[in-house]
Amino acid sequence: MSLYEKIIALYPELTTEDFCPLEGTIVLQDDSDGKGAFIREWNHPTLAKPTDEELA
Amino acid sequence: MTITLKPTASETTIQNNGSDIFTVDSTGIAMASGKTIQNASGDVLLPVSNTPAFSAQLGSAQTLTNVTVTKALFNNELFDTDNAFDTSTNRFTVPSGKGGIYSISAHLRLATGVSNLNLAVMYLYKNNAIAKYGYNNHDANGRGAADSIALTTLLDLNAGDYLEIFAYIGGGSSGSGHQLNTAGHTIFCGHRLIT
Repeated sequence: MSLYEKIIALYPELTTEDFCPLEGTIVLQDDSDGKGAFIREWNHPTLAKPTDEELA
Repeated sequence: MTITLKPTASETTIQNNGSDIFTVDSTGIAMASGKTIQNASGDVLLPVSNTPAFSAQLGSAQTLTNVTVTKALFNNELFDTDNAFDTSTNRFTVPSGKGGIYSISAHLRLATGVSNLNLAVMYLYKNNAIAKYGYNNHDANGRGAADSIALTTLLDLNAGDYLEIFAYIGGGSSGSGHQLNTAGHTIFCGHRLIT
């Protein structure tokens, strides 16, 4: 399950638009270093940034 | 310091303490090996050299994850005049003493057949922050197969600054699976301008 899919499972109200780098408030990034994706920016106005435990 | 003019029938060589500096003949001026013309700041004006210069391309197809900004893997180096491009980090770093205006270009080709690629973005990161970007926005119409993004820009860079290329695809749930594809079409290159 990708990081995006884990976040959507926690917050089903989010859509791909929320992750759009041009207009969204959440940026997921993968540095292609084998460590996987991470939350680079979380600026959603109402939803709290998920904890590592919630995403585990 | 002793400056000597050594004329012959066809040319004149100027020497400093017996060492050739340059030669003048009917075709122009030829600098001796290792000799340069510099301005007051010590910048070499002649002979000209657009270096550092580098070019790297995708080594093999790279699958992207939907709505995730992903570093592109340019692990096939074509040339790198100053060993400034690191294929292990896919990063170009301005060498010491080589700051200046750089022309930077990149092209990404997105391939394979997902049905609803709505947005494709290419980011040029400078020091882990967005410096420039380009994108194709297909809105809700989607795009099924190949897509591409190109970007060329000039950046004023200092020694130690580093550049990376990231890609983003956005679509519906089936947006995953798009790939950066075809080595010759997914490239990252640049060089310092003569100033």
